[in-house]
Amino acid sequence: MFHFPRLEFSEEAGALRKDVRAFLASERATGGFVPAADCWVSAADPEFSRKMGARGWLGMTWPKAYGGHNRPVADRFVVTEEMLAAGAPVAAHWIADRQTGNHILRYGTEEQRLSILPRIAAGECFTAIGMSEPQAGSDLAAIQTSATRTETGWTLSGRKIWSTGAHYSHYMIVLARTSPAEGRNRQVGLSQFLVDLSLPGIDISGIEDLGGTPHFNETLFENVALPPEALLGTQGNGWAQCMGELALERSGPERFLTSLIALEHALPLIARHADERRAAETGSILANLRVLRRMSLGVAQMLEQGESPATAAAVVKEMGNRLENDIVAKLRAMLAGIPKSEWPVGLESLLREAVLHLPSNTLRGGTTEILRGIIAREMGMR
Amino acid sequence: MERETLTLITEGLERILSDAPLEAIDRAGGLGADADALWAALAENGYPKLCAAEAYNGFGAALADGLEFATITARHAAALPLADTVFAAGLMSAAGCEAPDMRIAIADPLDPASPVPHAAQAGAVLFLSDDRLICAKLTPDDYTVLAKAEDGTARLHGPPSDVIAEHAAPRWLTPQAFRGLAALFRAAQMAGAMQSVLSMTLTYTQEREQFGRPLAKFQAIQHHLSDIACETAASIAAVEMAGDALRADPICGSGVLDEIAIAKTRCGEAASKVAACAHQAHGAMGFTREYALGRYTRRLWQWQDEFGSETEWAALLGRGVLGDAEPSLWPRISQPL
Ligand SMILES: Cc1cc2nc3c(=O)[nH]c(=O)nc-3n(C[C@H](O)[C@H](O)[C@H](O)COP(=O)(O)OP(=O)(O)OC[C@H]3O[C@@H](n4cnc5c(N)ncnc54)[C@H](O)[C@@H]3O)c2cc1C
Repeated sequence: MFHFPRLEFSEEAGALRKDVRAFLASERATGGFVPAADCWVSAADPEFSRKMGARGWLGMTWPKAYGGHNRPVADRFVVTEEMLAAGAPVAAHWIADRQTGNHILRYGTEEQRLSILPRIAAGECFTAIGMSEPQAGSDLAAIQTSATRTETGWTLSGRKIWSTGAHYSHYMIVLARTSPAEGRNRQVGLSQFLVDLSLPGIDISGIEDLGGTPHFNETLFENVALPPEALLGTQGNGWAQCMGELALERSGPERFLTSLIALEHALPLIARHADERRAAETGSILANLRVLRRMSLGVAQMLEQGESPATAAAVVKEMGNRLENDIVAKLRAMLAGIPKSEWPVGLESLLREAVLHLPSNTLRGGTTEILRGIIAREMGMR
Repeated sequence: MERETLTLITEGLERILSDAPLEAIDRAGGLGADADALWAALAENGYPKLCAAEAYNGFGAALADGLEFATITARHAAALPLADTVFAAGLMSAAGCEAPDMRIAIADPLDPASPVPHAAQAGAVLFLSDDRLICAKLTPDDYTVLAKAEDGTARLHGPPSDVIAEHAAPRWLTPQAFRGLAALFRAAQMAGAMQSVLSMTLTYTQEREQFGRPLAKFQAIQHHLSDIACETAASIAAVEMAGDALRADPICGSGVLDEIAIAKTRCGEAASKVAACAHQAHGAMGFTREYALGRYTRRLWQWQDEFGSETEWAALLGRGVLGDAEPSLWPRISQPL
């Protein structure tokens, strides 16, 4: 739990970083995107995703047979962190590239791998996460969506909520109950399904977030007929599979780099008003981010070595979420006293955007309270 | 130094420390017969000269290897200047001289008036003055012990004059580098102390019951422990990161100093949080002189201030960023590890 192995970047990773930076600079210069805070959730641009796919920057770690590029985890880390630092519009493909693709690679049928993964890697296929339900948030095992076997496959019924990007996604991995809980143990009898969102009986409706972005959704499944191969992995193993997915979901650089873009935008201004206090705040943010990045890279390394670092991932997310809040607070403190007339164009909006996203950091992907509980359990307190 | 050799040595150190009456030694302020016997055992194994070259009767380990010693002694709250002596002997060796067989304290070259940690426990002090590395004898006449401080920290009356060894400092050993390396040793010590605070707090909250159940079963207490664990993990990672940088560039270039600044900042921030959470979870018992938690937290609070507090180091980092022609954090955050 305390040891986060060192992940060393190769020379190729260094070259890759240069390529990515050059690409981002030229995209920005030609109006390809306007930097946004929280870009991996709220800035979706399928066109941008396709450009990344064309450059080989999606599905980077997957085998070539499935459209991947067979590159080390460190290379994918380079691409994702550079995208986040630039505030690039990566939301459309984010979930597919981060977790769904890996899940399909691990649990999917050969046909699913061959048909879906190359499209994800090309930036043409997007996916959503169907875990939460109106009555099941932190208490995920309380889900009521169910799938029952039929002669031709499965029937899926229920309601998922808060699914980021479901409105532009092609598939959703849905956690559903396939057999009853065993007494108090509700983690048994759950299974995951890879659901084609174009099937009849599926109704997706958008929900605006606090800042007015229609980024997440409620999805209704009314007796949706699924083919047999929609069952992902093993029937009854859904809980364990979900937890594996969460290690991918919780440990990446998006857990601490979402508000950096606002700070970066403000730094030249802060530098013109540099004093001891502002320098100390800046240095503290740098120290915290750099250390957390090292830990996040450590989790990536553990994942590559086939470990399941669920608790380490929880540590990264828990600290990352707190740090995001801290960065915004410190940024506001550093800007205090600087006349608005000097603020660069766009800073005010970036800051407002970062503020409006603050509550979500400590909720999505497992709340702070739940993560702390996971860490406490690892220490034998529960 | 080979990993296996270092492991053998650290295991030996752990054994000696585990067998020593460390609480009694601590209570005696790191002075007296028990402290002397413990030091004799360490010296017999050559541990104080871990980072000195073989020519100077050392093991030839890198200063980065010495960080492990710092972490281990701190995990035991050992009231002796082993980390500081390892540091001093390493620097003296780099300058081309052998350290005396004594406990050696180190003085902050950037703030010469600041009290010298371990002064009263040590027989000598190492300081850097006008590019000269000077090791001088310390006697009780040379200092006044600081009240309320740990480990015989004392204010020197002036630069001690009874010089044991003096040598030109290597060119890379600027006052900044000296202070930085010392700060990194303190960071490693903080990471060690935090590990013990974590395990003590875990044990205590699992054993003490209130309202008919162990404190550890209360969610609020679990969250304190989670915070301690996270901060400890971050501190360990920060020290490792700076240690890796130092290993790659043992003469402490500017890149290493940045990583050190990051480590001292991060560990210093963590120290406050860890100490606060641990004391909250311990209740009044933790606030006694008798109970052992204070042996760790008192040192955490002291170490966070020695050789530059987290605020000073953060400001140094921040001035670097804000002084750039195009101020930006990302190029620094994304440096190779
Ligand atoms: C921006 C955003 C995007 C999201 N995207 C997705 C998505 O794509 N797919 C998906 O499936 N879900 C998604 N979610 C849902 C997210 O996973 C849930 O919000 C989260 O699991 C918490 O559930 P809840 O919102 O129902 O809150 P609740 O579970 O009702 O929690 C409310 C409060 O009570 C606390 N609480 C609950 N149980 C305990 C306990 N045992 N001990 C202490 N405190 C407790 C929580 O920590 C929280 O502070 C998203 C959420 C957000 C905000």
